[in-house]
Parts: sequence; C-alpha cells; structure tokens
Amino acid sequence: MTTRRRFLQQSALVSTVWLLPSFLKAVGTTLPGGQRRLVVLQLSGGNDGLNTVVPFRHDVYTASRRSLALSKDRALLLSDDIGLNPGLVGLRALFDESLVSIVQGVGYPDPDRSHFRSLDIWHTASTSSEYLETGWLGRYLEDHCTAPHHVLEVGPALTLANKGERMKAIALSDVGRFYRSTREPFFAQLAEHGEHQHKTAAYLYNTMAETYQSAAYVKEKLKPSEPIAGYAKDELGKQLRTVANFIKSGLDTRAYYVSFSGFDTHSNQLQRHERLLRTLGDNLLAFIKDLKAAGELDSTLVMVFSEFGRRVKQNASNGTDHGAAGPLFLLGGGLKNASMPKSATCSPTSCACSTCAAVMRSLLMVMPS
Amino acid sequence: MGTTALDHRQRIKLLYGRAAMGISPSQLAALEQQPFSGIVEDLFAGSAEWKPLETAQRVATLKQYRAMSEKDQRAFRREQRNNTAELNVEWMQRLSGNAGILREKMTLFWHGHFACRSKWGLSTQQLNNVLRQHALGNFGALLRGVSRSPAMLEFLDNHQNRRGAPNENFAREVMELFTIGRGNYTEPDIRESARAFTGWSFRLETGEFVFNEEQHDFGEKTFRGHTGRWDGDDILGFLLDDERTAAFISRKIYRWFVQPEVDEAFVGIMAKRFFGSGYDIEDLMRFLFTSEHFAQERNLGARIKNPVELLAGLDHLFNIVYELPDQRIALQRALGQVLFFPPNVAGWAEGKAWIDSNSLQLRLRMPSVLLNNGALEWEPDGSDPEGLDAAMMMDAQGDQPQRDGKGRVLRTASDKEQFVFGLPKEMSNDGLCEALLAIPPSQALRSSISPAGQGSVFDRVLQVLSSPEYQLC
Repeated sequence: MTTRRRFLQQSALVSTVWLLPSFLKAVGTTLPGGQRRLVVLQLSGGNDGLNTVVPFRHDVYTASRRSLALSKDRALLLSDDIGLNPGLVGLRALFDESLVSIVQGVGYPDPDRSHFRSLDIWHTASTSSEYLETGWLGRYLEDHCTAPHHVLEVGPALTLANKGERMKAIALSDVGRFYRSTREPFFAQLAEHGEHQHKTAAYLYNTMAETYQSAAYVKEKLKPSEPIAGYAKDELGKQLRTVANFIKSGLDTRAYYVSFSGFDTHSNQLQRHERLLRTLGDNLLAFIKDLKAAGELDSTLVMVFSEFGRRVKQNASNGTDHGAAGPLFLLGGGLKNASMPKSATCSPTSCACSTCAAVMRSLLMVMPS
Repeated sequence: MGTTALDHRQRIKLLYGRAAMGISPSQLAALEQQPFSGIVEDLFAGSAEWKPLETAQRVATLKQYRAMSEKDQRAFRREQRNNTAELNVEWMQRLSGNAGILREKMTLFWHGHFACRSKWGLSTQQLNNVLRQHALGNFGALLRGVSRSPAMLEFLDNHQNRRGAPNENFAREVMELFTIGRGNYTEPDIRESARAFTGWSFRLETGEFVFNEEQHDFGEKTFRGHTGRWDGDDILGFLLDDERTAAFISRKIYRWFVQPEVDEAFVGIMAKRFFGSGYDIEDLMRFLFTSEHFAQERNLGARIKNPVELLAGLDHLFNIVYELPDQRIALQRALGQVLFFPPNVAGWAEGKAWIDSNSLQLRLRMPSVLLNNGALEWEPDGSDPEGLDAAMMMDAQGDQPQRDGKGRVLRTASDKEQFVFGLPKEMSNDGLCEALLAIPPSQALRSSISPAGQGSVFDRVLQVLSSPEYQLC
C-alpha cells in the first residue's frame, strides 16, 4: 500500500505527468475543432481491477487469489505480463483497433472504502477530507453551458456528479415518457406561464420551464433509432443505445452519464464478474461501432471508471473486498496513443480529481472549477 | 419582499413551517385566537418531555460478530438494516404528528449537523436518542454525548485512533463540522487533539462508550496554546470555551430555521446570547422564534422544504397510512433524503440542492401520488449496494398502479374527508392558497386552479398542493 506521505512524495516528483496524464494530452491535441463530447460510464459497486486487467504472472496476485486468479491461458493477452478478463472480448477487439487506452491505478490519496463516500469523492472530484456539494460535470454545466440538457444522464435519477449549484443536468430513461410528464396540462400551464416575484419560487418556476424546453428540444431533435446489432438486450445495452441515438440525432449535449451496477463482488465472484465484464465489453463494442459508422467516434471520448478497486487477497467466500484504486478505460477515435498498461497496481498512482480535471481541460476545452 | 412585519396569521404559519411540519387550515384557525407568545410557549411546553425512539434490537459483540460465518454475518447485517428501517418509520410517524413536534424537528436539525451512518441498529438508535434528549437542552452536553456515541466514534474511525498510531478523522470533523468550523484551527491542532481522543472507543452490544486506557496517549499535548495532559473531554471544553463555536452553530441554525441568506449582524446577536447562556439551545430558539427579525416578510417561503419536511407535512395534513410501512422509506429515497443515511458527515446540502428537473417533477406529483392514486413508476437503480434498493421515477400516465422497487403496489389511505370537513365553508381558491401556501400563488397557478364550484373542493386542494409554491415554507 502506498501511504499518503509516499504518495505525496511521488506525486511531487512527477506532478506534471500526473496532473495531466499524457494520454489525455494526446486526446486534446489531436481532436478536430467543433463539437466534442464525453460519455462517462460508472461501474457501481467497486470493480475488481486486478481481475479486469490481469497481471497473471505476478506472484503476489496468484498467491493471494487461490480460486480467483486468472491464468495466462484464460486471459485475453495484451502483453507477456498482462491480459484482460476473458469476459472482455469486446474490449479486446477495440484494443486491436487502437480505440482503447487503459490507465492503471486511478484513485485518490487516503482512499475511503465506503461505497457512498468513495462515489461522493469521485462525483465531486474532492479530496478525501473535503465535502463538496456540487459535482464536477454539474460545475461544468453551470459555468460553460446554457441549458440543463447539455449534460444528460440516462438513468432513473440524477447523480451528484451532474449537479451544479444553480443548474443541474437532466436524467431520463425514456424520452417519450420524460416528454409526456412535462406535458400534463396542469404542469405544462405552470411551466409555460409561471412567473413569480419571490426569488426562490422563481427558481423553481425557472427549473420547470427549463425542463419543459429541454424535453421539447430532445423530443424534436431525436430521430427514430434503427435497430443496431451487437447491443445486449439488458439495461446497459438499452442505455448506451439511447446515448448513441442522442449523439447521432445531433443533440448539442456535451456530456452523457450512464451507470452500470453489480460490481460489489464480495462472494462467488469469478463467474459473476466475468458475466458483468462480458456485458460491458460487448455493449461498448456495439456502441463504438455504432458511433464509428455514424462518423461520430472521433469527436467522442468514453471514460469508464469505478469508485474503487478491490483488495489483492481474496476473502473466504470466493470474493474480494473493497480496495483502493483501479483501472480506468478511455475509448474513442481520437486516442492518438492508445496505450496498454505496463504493470498492474491496486494503489493510487493517478488521482481521480486530476483525471476529471484533465478530461475537462483537454476534451471540453475548459478550466475545471 | 423586505423587512415588512408579518401579520398574526402569517407569523403563525411561518413559525409552524420552521418549528413544526406545517399547519393545517383548521389548526391555524384555532391558533389565530391566541397571542403569538402563548403559541410559542405551547410549542415548547409540548416538547418539554422526551421519549426515546425504540425498536427491538438483536445485538452482538464485535467478537461474536467476527466469529460468525459470512452467511450469518450477512443475515445479521440484514437484520440490522431492518432495525434501522423500523426506526426510520417510527421517526417519520413522530415527525408527522403533533406531539413533541418541536423536539422532533430539532432532532432532525441535529441529525443533519451530527450526520452519521451506522450499520448497527442499536448504535443508530442510541445516537438518535442522544440528539433527541439534548435537542433543546445544552449544546455542550449534546456535543459530549455525540462524541461518546458508538455510532459516531465508529463512523469517524476513532476506534482505530491509538497511542502511537493516531487516526485524525474524528478530531478533524469535531472541529471542522461540529464546533468552530473550517479555517479556525490548524493542522497541529488536529494532530494534538487526535492524541487526546486516543482510546475513546465503544462496546457495540451495549451501545456504551469505553475509555481504553491502554490505547490512550497520556502524554503532554499543546492544543491552541494550552499545554497539558489533555484528554478528549478537555479538548471539547476548549472548543466550547471558544465563542466561534457559538457563532458557527448560530449561523447554521439561522440558515436552517430562518433563511439561507445569512444576516451576519443578527447571527452575531444570536451567538452572543448563546455563548452567554452557556449554550442553552431552548433559550436561543425561543429568542429566535419570538424575535422581530424572524417575523419579516423576507423570511416567508425562503426555505425549500427538504424531502422529509415535504412528506411529513403532507402526512400531517392528511394522516396518510401506508399499506406497507417501508414504502415511506422508498419515497424518501426517491426524493433524495433518507433518515439515518446522510450523504456524508457534512450532512445534507439543503436548499437548492434538493431541486433538479427530475426531483422537482416528482415533488410536484407527490400530493396526487399519495392522495389521489396518481401513478409512479419505480425502477431499482442498484446504485446503493449497501442496502436500500428502490428508486423510482414518475410517469405521466395516470392509468398505471403505483409500484415500488420490489414491484409491490403502493397503496395509501388518508383522511381526505376529514380535511375538507375542517375547511371553512365556501372556501375560495384564494382562501385555499392563503391557508396552504407560505407565499402568494403565481398568476399562472391562480388561473390553473379549477374555479370554485367546479369539481370537488379536494381537487382544488390537490392543485394548490401540486405547485412550486408548496415546496416552500
């Protein structure tokens, strides 16, 4: 384990590299001008990084995971030392086309092993000893965008990452349903004509009006989606298809947010984890192909993260417990130096908040706040 | 909206919006006949006694727990979550009633101030009762009670704070969030006070505080210029001796009970009084509620009800009975505030943080969902692997039954007739708005409400409650 002190010493030595990872510099300089967008995919529950990007030759890894270690034969090889989980067939295919970068050991100093606190830290891009009330994409939204739907979450409720103080993103699962809910006559009337002199009431009426307008915009812009092969018929497949459809329809949304849960694998992990990763890889492959065919891949960056990785040593129920850092995936057409990891690690070597900041600087071309 | 003084009715509504969970039209009509000072005194008198919140708890020592098989541990944890769910429902019922409402409201405030999550039902219950016991008592006693509660000590890792291997989490939060506030202490203050808190531990099975001598650092510490062999109590004493603690708490009370926009001059007066009284909370709250500063037009509707206030307020008006009691919790979760599950030790953000496109739509539909078989579609979002698993979103179509995350139908019963019966005869729409809303309705709302005489009175009540204005108190 890297102690906080050692971490700080290390980061002082290599701070420039760490604060703006080279892979993101590459993204920033090679993308063409015009609209670019970010798709964030959150793996909820704490993805086991060591069985995702597998260091199959590492002694400590094999010794600590008697029933969970993946051998060289099973892993999808990336190099002599590293392979992907056998479930990640889709991701492996994208790797061969240089459409994936894997960043190892992304976390933050003084890791917190609670799901909710760790997600809190990721969502607000805070340090582990501060408590922020707004999310990193929410702050982007209110500082640089003009409408709530410029950040869209595809899901049932809005994640803290997408909440600013004055402006918040919109969460929706189904455009038709979202639209209809704003058009019930009583509420539509208030949204269209509501004004109030009272400051706080005016804020609420304004939120209603913005929602009403955003719903109209999205509904109007949206083109009917044709069935695209490859997406799984599960929730993640549905959500990524929705995002792809938004992008292909030409929405002016700058960031999309999707969550995929089930990664809290405390028991009987092996098959379950492989299944989750297969779903992930297959759906990502379909999503990337979909965007590529539409000519939208070069202007899109997908970032896949989890709130923490899991510990090296397996527990007594053939599972793993909450750990610290984990691998982060970046996918897109603009990755000049699609890179593969040289080693496996489960302690933080890149900081979550600076990673989010770097994504903002290089992709969305703004200074993070 | 300015410093204009409120009339008697407005003043009562404001008081009940902040010190209670709102007021029904019939209650308001009855109270109107009394002088304001008597109304305030009655609220305090009604909360003079306190009764602990209690549910049956299965307990185990940490040793026993660790000796269980993983399967039994899981079952034990599930049981503990159920205990906490029972506490949640019991507390919501209290928050929706009249008995001791001021004390319960203050307990809710302290629950956000001393924000804590615990896996253990007994610890959760014990800390909540510490808050309840001292809710209107002495802040020093409250602080000391919280600092000795197993729930908080575990939440902030103080059981891992040992001589020679300090864990500073507890010491830091005591200063940053519980007493003097950020910017008023140094890193050495944290280091030295963490040493003083070493050995402050607990017994899970009894919910008792334990001072572990072997782990305590008996050496000399220098804390904010004072050198001595301090222990945790000494540190809390130094923090209470600092007027900035009184200012920090007064400001927070002001933001919660009066206005998010702080009048520093008035907070200065509150702080001076609070400090001078030796941290008498009841004295401070009585001073606040009876002050002319409180009774100003600028304070009307300045607070966005938090989800618990919104739900308890509707419940208070209509005596809502849930067929499945834990659906109360699912509703809290859908609106973003579950009792006993604050987002972190800093508590809920409050104010505008409650409002986004989705939550506002849901809030606006809550009255019809609970009172008129409006439809909700629930989706488990799986985002909380630690327990509660139901999230939901609303649906525009009114023809589907309401279901929770487990697919169960949400059924409620309520005293609609009783409510309508309690309204003055021939009540105009303006009259309904005046009785139910903290601020005047927008023109759009006025023209959206069905004309009197068309449709039932209850439909018009429902329309008034389904408004942005009703989100405010």
